Amino acid sequence: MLSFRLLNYFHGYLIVNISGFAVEKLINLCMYKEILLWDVKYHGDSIYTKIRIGDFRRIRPLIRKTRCQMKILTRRGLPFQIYRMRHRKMLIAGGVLFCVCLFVLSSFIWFVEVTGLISLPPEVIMQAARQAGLKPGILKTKVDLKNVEHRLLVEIPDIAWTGITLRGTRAVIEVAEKTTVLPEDKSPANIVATKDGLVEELIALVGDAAVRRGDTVRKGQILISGLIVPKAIDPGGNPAPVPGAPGQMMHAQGIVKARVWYQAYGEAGLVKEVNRRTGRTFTQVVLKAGGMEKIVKQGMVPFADYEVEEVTKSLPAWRNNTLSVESKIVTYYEIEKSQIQLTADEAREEAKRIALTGLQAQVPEGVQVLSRKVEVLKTAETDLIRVKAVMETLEDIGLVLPFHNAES
Amino acid sequence: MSLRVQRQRLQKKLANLLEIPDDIVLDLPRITLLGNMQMLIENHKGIVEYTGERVRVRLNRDELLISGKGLALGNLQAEELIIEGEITGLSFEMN
Repeated sequence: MLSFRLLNYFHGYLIVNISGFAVEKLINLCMYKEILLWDVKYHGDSIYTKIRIGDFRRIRPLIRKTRCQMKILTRRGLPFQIYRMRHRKMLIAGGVLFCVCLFVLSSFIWFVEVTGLISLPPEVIMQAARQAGLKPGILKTKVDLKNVEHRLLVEIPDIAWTGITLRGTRAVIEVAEKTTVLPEDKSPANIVATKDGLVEELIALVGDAAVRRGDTVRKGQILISGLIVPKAIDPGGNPAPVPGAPGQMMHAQGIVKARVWYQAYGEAGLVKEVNRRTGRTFTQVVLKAGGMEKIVKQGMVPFADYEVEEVTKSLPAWRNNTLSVESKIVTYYEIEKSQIQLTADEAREEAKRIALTGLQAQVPEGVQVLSRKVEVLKTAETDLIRVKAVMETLEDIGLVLPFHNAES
Repeated sequence: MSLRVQRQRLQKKLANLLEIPDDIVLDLPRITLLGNMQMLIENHKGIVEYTGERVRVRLNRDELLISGKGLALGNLQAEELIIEGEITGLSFEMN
C-alpha cells in the first residue's frame, strides 16, 4: 500500500468532486477504460475521488458523455510541487549554491595537524610542509602527498618516517622521530655528595676515591675525584702523590652509597580545633569569556567562616578552540568551628602522624630504609605533645659534577 | 429444469473432474471480507448504484447489495474493487 501511495505521489494526482445523475455509469466506464479511481467517497449527492494526472485528460470525454459535472479540489504530488517551485527561483538557486559551496569547500585542505612528535616542535614540521606545498587553503588535487612526505624526510633529518593522510578537509602528518643515542659525556668531572651521610660503600670505576668507607661526608664534598695524580709508594708502604707531576683529568664514574638520616618533627595539642560544615551553602556563578569575568549571581557571602569549592565547566576542547567560554561555579560552605578534647594517646598519635608525613616528604622514593624511630620529647608543657621521627636510609648520594661547574 | 441450470451442472462436473477451481470455470466472483470493514470483490461486472449507505455491484448472473455506513470505494479496477466502511448487510439478488 505504501508503494502504491508513493507511486501516486510521484505521478501526481487530483482530488475531484463529481456530481451528476449517472455517477455509477461513469465509474463503470472508468473501470472499463482502465482509468484508475481510488478513495471514492460519497458525500452529499456527489462523490469525491482521487485520479492521476494522466487519467484526467481521458476522463473528460466520459464526463461529457454521462453528463456529470467535475470540479478539481486539490492538486497533489511531486509534479505540482515542482510546478509551484518554479516561482521560487531564489530557493532553488540557494539549494544549488549550497551544494556547490559544499563541494567546492570540501575540495580544499583547511587544517594541517601533526601527530607523533616527541621532542621536535610541531612548527618545524608545519614550516617544512608549507614549503613543500602542504598548507591550509590549498586545493587537494594540487598537493602531491608522496612528494611532501619525501621533502619532509629530506629537510628534517631528525625524523625517521612520515605519512600524510587526508581526512576530509584535514591533513594529518604522522611523524616518527629518530631515536638518537646521546654521545657519552667525556668531559672531566668529579662525583660529589648530594647529602650529608656516612659512606657505607664506595666503588670508583674511573677516578680517585677521595673518601673511604666509614667517612662522614658533607653535602658538596668530592667523593671520587676526576683529577688523577700519579702516585708512588713512599717508604712507609703507602701510595703518595708524586710532587710536581701533572694530573690527568678524567670523567669520574662510580657508585657511592651512604647512610643518610632524616628527621621530622610533629606536635599536637590536647585541644583540637575542628571545622565542620553546617550544610548551609551559597553559590556564585561566574562567566568567563576571553579573559573577562562576569559574576552572574551577585551578592555577598552571608557566612563568617566558610570553605570555598570551585567547579569550572568549559566547552569541550574542539578544533582550534581559541574563543574559550567557560563558567565557574563557586560554592561557599558555611563551617562551624568547635574544639575537641583529645586524650594523651590520641594527641601522641596525631603528632606522630604529622611527623611521619613530614618525614615522607623528605625521603626520596625507592631508597632502602634501614631504620625508623619515633621519639616522644619530654617537655614541661602538659597540653602539647611533641614528637620527633628519625629515619635512616641507605642511598646513592653521588652526583656527577663537571669541573667548570664546580669552579663557578 | 432450465437449460442454463443443466449447463451449469455439467460445467461443475467437468471442473471437479479436471480439478480446476469452480470460480474460473463458472465465472463466479470471489469475495473476501475483512471483518465488517473491508470487502474485496474480484471478477465483478460493474457498479449499479453507489451511495454512502448502499452499494450494488453487478456480478455474473446476480447482483450483490451491500448496505452499511460511510461506504467508500477503495480501488476501482476492471477486475477487482474494494469497498471500505462499516458493512452491515449483504444480500444476493437475482435479476
